[in-house]
Amino acid sequence: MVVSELKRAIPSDGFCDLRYQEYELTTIKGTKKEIDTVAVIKKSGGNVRVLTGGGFGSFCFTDTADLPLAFKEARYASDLIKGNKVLDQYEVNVDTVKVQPEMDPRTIDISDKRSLVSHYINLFMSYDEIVNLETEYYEQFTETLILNNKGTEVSQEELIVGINFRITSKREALTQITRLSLGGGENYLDLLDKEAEIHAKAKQTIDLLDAVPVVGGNYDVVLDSEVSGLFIHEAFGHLSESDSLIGNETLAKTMTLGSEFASEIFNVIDDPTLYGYPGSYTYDHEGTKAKKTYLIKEGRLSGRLHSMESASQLGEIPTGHARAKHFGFTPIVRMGNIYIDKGQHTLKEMISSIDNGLYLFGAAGGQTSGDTFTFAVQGAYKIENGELTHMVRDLALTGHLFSTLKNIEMVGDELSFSRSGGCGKGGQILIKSGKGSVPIKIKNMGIGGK
Amino acid sequence: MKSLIEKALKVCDAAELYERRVFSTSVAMLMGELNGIDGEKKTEISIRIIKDGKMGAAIATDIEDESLIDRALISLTQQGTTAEPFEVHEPAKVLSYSEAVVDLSTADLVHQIEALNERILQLDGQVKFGIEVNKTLTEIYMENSSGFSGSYKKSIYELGIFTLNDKGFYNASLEKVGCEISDITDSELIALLEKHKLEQHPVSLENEKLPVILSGSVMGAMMLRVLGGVNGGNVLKHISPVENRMGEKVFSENITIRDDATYAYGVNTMAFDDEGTTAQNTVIYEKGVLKSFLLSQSQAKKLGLKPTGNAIKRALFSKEIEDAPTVFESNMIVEGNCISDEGLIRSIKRGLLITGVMGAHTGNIIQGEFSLNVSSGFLIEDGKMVGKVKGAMIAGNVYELFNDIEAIGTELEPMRGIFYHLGYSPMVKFGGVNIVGK
Repeated sequence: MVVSELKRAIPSDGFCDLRYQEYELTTIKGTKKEIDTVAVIKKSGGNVRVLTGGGFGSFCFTDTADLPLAFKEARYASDLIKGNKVLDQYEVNVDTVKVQPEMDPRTIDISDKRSLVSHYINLFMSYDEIVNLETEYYEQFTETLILNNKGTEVSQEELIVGINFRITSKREALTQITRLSLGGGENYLDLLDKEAEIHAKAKQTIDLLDAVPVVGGNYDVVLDSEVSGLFIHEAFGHLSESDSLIGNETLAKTMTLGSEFASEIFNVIDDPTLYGYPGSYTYDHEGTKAKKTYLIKEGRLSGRLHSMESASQLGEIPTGHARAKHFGFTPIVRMGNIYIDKGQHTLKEMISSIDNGLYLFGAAGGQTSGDTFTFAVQGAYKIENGELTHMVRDLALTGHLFSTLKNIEMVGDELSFSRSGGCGKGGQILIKSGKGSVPIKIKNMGIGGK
Repeated sequence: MKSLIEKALKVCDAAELYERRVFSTSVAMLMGELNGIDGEKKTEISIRIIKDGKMGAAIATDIEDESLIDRALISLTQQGTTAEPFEVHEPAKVLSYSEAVVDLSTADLVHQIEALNERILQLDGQVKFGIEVNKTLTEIYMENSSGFSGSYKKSIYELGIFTLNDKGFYNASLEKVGCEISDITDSELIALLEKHKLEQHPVSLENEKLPVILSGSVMGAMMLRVLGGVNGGNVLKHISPVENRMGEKVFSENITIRDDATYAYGVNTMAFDDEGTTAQNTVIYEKGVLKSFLLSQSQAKKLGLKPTGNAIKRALFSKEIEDAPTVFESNMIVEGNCISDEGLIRSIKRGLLITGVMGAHTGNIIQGEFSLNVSSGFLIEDGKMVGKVKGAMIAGNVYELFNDIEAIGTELEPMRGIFYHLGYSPMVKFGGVNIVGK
């Protein structure tokens, strides 16, 4: 369907928008030494939203012949909601965004991609004590057209390519699992020549078999960049997604801007405009330009992530964070690239400040439920009298957000971003959600073993 | 459909076409105000082809997609999977469809949610809460060039209520899901509100070992680990911890676990799986003894066994067609040595009732390990719930934990996996679970 036809289908009253998307996902998946599946998935469809009543009605479709039905159903749904909600915070943008990677994965023959994946698989599986390996090459390309009846017409390409490994080592009855991610941006070049990283991760996974199980309890801990990134994503990032404040006045009060959340050395930013990370993009799925947003500045809550609706509701500026997995879903507020910004301490200073603690490395998944969070890490080193000593295994962390943020004592000076995207919310797994951090030191953190 | 199969057969030896049409409506209310109504009408198409003994697959949203067969050929050439011929089975006669659900209009859903809102306010005018309701109609059509032709319809009605604590965070919750319209009784609402009020009585635990009751919903986190062990793919890759334990007593005799795709009006009830295998009721563990793995057609052939009808075209975090069929649960049903739910709670002198956990997707799931944050748990003293647990974790391994089952309750709850429901379980009492407290 051509753009002019789509534009003509959009009703003029209230606020109405249409997002039409073509989605292509190439995957190569393997287990152990085998490549199990190679797939090129293509899906296309649209999502319309109408605001003529007290809330949004939305409808998604895969057949463009259903576009009039979609607007009719969305309008009917919106009018069923009592009231008259007004969207007064929105941007009108007209733009075309094309991806321009240095090496475009779409130009690489699929057999070459398969060979690369097989090469890395063989490196991992050359170690006797690596007993299982789950591998996934993914390359997701989307072409999105966002139109609304206020004048927005944004056409945007998005591309992400990467390889994720989940590595299991085993000795007798003991198994250990680690993860490694490559890529996460749009450049195929970022996947090449990673042999040294693979050997290092394989060795670390095997070394964890010699580690001692952690003794559960409270420790002063240093989190490496990857674990800090997961911490800020799970513990605080989801709370900064302000669609959860709509209609929830008590939570909005808890999240009053200016509230002191941490000490003044602590700064948290979400920036989708950084180039080359999983959560990098130019426009969100409402056609709002993505903005670098300070969430915590010098310890105080200074901003939050918005859709047009949440910004209108709270009288703030849309930050360009309303996104959807694809056309089959309504956009909801999601993190772009959230990170803890640089502080003044070196990693060495943080470690040497601890007499009895842990240096945690490697993220292994997490979850949040409002003010409490949990996440698993791949492993740790014991810190004794300011020095790293032996490896420790089987760690999971849990904590209360507000007390944990106040326990952050030192903030590192070397910022790095995870190559692994992915976040689940509202039934949508979004690959293009990134996280990063400097290492941080937290006192008195609850650590549970397995 | 036939024309696409005919087209495919010009370039391959055998073909299978699968089409899924989904129609759904979701309504959400928070603090008495509707905050959005979402609808969808979507079609997904999947083709699998066999050529020279190899299998390939492709997915689209439009049956006219010209690239579908070409993409299936790319898959076939690259993945080199050895193909088994497409099979012909008879679809099972199952109860998976309710006209009453399909007939619900969007306005009906709004009225239902408004009526429930009023009922909760009548019981407690102060509580802050939200309600979500969803209805989905799915139509499945499938054909293959060996002669299989089948279709079935499925309706889903899903209702959830959650309360918010005084800071606006999630507190207590209740959910119902199945093919029929579910009603929520006043006594269920009263039990929900009682749990909500226990937030006012926070309790901290030491690092200790306590008797624990897991709610039917939380049993889903454990069932993901049970499934990891009996998944035919993991058995064939020699990574299942129960690969060589068929016929052995692996769990307590107090538990039976089956996977029942024929379960009347169940959340995952189906007439046939996504390979066309007839839906069936598979006993996985009978009184703790391992009786069956869950197997796709090709896995069954390799093991010299029969397929169990568990090959589904989805992924762990998505129910869209994302992949070639792999093994997933249908309706996992937990049964066993039953005593009433009230009796289970009364039987505990000091212990926990856990109704919500976080972290189900982390750790070595296939090996049965778990390390879960107790997001919703209640301390029981002398048979009564006395407070809400703060900041605790439970950790262990299902192959130890499930040997310590003392009794199983009576009221079935939908088991929650990560995003989805795995079937139904009553609450289950375990003798001793390691708690990581303060």
